[in-house]
Amino acid sequence: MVTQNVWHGAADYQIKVKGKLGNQWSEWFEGMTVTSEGAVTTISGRVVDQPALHGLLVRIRDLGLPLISVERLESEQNNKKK
Amino acid sequence: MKDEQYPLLATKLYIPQPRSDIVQRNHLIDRLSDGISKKLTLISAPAGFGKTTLLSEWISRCQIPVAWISLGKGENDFVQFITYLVAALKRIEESIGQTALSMLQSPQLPEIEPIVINLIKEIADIPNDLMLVFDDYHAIDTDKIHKIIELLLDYLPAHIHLVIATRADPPLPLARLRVGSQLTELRAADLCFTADETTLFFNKIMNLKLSGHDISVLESRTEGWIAGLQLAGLSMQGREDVPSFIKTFAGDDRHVVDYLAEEVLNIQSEKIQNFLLQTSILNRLSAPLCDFVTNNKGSQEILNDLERANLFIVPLDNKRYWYRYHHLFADLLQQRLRQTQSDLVAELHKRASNWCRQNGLEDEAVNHALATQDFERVALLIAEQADTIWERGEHAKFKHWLEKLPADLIFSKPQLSVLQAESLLIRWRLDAAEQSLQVAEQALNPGPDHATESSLIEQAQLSNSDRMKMLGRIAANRSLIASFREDVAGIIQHANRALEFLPEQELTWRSTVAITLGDGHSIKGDLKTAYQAQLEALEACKMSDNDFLLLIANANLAVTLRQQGRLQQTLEICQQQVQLANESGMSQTIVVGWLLAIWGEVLAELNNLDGAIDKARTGVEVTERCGDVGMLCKSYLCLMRVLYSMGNMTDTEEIFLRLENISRQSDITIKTASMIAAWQARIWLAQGKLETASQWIVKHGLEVEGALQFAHEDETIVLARILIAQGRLDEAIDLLDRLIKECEAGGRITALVEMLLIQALALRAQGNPDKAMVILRKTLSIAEPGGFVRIFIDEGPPVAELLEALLDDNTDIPRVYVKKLLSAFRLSKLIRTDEGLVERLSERELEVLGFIAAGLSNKNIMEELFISMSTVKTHLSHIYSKLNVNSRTQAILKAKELDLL
Repeated sequence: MVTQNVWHGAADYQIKVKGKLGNQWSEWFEGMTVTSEGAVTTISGRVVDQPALHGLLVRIRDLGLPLISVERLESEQNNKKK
Repeated sequence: MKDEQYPLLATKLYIPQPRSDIVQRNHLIDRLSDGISKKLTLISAPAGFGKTTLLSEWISRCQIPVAWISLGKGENDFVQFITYLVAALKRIEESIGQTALSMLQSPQLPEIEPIVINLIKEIADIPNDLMLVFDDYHAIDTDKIHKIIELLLDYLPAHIHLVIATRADPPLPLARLRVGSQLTELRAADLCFTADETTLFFNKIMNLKLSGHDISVLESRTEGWIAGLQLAGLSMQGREDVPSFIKTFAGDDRHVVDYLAEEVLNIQSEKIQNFLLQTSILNRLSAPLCDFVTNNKGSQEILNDLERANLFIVPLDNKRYWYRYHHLFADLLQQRLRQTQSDLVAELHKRASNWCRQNGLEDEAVNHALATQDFERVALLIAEQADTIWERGEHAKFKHWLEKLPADLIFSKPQLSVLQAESLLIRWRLDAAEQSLQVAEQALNPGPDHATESSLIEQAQLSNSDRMKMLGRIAANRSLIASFREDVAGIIQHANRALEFLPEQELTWRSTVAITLGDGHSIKGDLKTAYQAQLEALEACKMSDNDFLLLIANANLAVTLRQQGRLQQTLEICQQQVQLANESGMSQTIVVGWLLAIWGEVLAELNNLDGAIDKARTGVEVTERCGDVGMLCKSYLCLMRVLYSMGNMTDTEEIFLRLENISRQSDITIKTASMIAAWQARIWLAQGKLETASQWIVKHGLEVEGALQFAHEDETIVLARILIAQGRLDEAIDLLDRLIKECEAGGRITALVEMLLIQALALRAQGNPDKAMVILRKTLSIAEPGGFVRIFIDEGPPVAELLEALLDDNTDIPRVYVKKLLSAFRLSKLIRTDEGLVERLSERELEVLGFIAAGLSNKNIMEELFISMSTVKTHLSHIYSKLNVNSRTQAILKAKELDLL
């Protein structure tokens, strides 16, 4: 279900990249949570809007981390109307 | 853009030098060389794949001149991009780009296509092969710039080759280029080190003597990623237990570069480690800057060592003054810095900002201040730069910074609000601009209820002269807004206030205001005052350094002189300015186009129709390419007048249709709209469509007894013409009396000549020949100084008759002038052919000619035109004799030759 806030609203994202990074990288990724399992790192948390999402992806790109997946999570917070 | 103005310019254009200690990748170099004959070479791979290294190696072997631009976020603006492109090209061919740069100087947002096409033409003229290299193209995400690259790809000739190195595929028509075999692509898979290359790298270059097994482990762990292999090499150099390093590395999941960078960092001395971490915040490094930021001496030595060891650092010039970190490592170092010494980060940025500010790197100073969210400081820095931002048209950059500042900060700093207003103005957001101006005004003159602590501090910080300057700029902006809205009272009020407050040194602002003031008086129709004001504006513009403003001031003056009937002086300005523009490379700017059109129109008035049509058409060509609707319309109006005087009704109507189209789709001034409407009616009158013209009067709400408005003068004159055609002579003469009075008061000689002439004709038609003569004499005495000719001839044979009658008079008349006009009348009936002058065909004769060409028989023609057979034959015989032919066939051929059909 796509809510009204898809374009400008904040949402929770889960981004998976190849390569293990520790949580000390959290601040580098604007405060997102950085966890890893084997050689795959998951960067997750609240992203303010689409431009912020693209900015995040550029940071990931510029570190040379191959992108595996980008998933927008449906949560109750997302579905809340303003 | 001069080097002294921007110290880092050279570093952006610096072609990286090839290094001796790298793996030769001949197979890739061969592919690149093979690709030169195609339009585009694209090297698209993530950071750390050796794109720049490969390119620099290739270029050094290539022998083709190269224009190189290392792109960054600062170039992500159309104006900046073109400026850098021109700077890079100038290194190959000094004379390139003058016109493009001058077109960028336009006070409104410049149009992409004309500038780029002009630049492309100049580039195409370079006889030798040339390569244009854009490194780090992923920094660009502006559509306008992608458009520039597309235009380059479409229009550049074969001997100019484009190279783009990027981390992300650019949104260009790559598929099309692939299909057309115009693209050479090197991607990550191509750029990975092969097994052989890895071996060469470790054992020859890094001198490590690894086993085949070790090498393959490393290769597999890094997947051939050059940055990873390089770091691995650095980690292993000078290490005792290489095998155990490899084993640990292979067994660790950590992101390659993250792991290895730490390894490499850890084996450096503490001094170097600190240096690396602390200077990692810098975009560009130099020894003095690093000393300042690290609070240490000896940075030069460290930089030299780092370069020698090939550790993270890339030189940006030949003098070994500026460096940068390799992109990947800068990020890693910064992250590590934040992790280990986070409390130091803000302080480091602050030091960097200070040094940059003191050393003329204003953009970097602002960026560092932004990095620590020290908005007060950012505001201060921007305010300091306010003047240069405006002068250089760097509005995009300013808008970008402004978006990051909190609103109340902008509120409290008048310099920022004014800049914001200007930035909005340039994008035609007049209401928003006015709001910002009000905010600025409030900050400068806080009323009792607005006196907060911060604004008081503001007031204390602003010196009195700064305050005056700000108030002057606010008024200047208001006068611009008023001029866009054609609010004459507003223009004059605000312009005068601005000139009162703006200090003498504010040359560009004072010139702009002076120009608007001249406009204001001109819109009112008060030519005498307008002339004075425009002369002063011209003087002001001469002192400012702005060629564009100078052109506008001259053009405005030329128009006023034309309206005042000072034709020779108008010509002088046009000639002089066009010549200067040609010399300074500004010949393609829109104002020059307009000047050419004005020039053409004056030549038409002086009855030099050949010269006139040439200039007018050229002028229109230039203005058509630029975006300014107002000047385009004015140029079309000039061209239309020339065509009309030449009797070329077809083209006159065509240009009119274009004008009508524009007036429907865009915002034009009231005066221009009125001139277009007047022409509509005039064309109908010329076509004999009196009924339609009469309806036009009602449609445009024109009343014979209505109040006269200068803005609608052209329409009112045509109204008088229609009245005459309708036979309402008394009304026409009365209306003209009123018009003439207004015109004389305003000094509008050209319009006056037309009005008097029509009135003379009306009086004659009324059966009042004596009065007609009186008016005619008055017309001649007013028209003679300027040398008006065509305005008489365009009124047709009745005027010639009046003039002949005047000659018989023995009273005091300008004989020479009258004779000149009469001989011009005689010549005008003739058209020029290869055999000499031939008498012009009448409208009816042209009609018959048309029917012959369509294959109609004499009988058909008779039926079509409701005339007798003998009349048809008479027409034919006139046609034959005028065209000097003997048969229908010959007549048709001749007519086609002379373009009569």
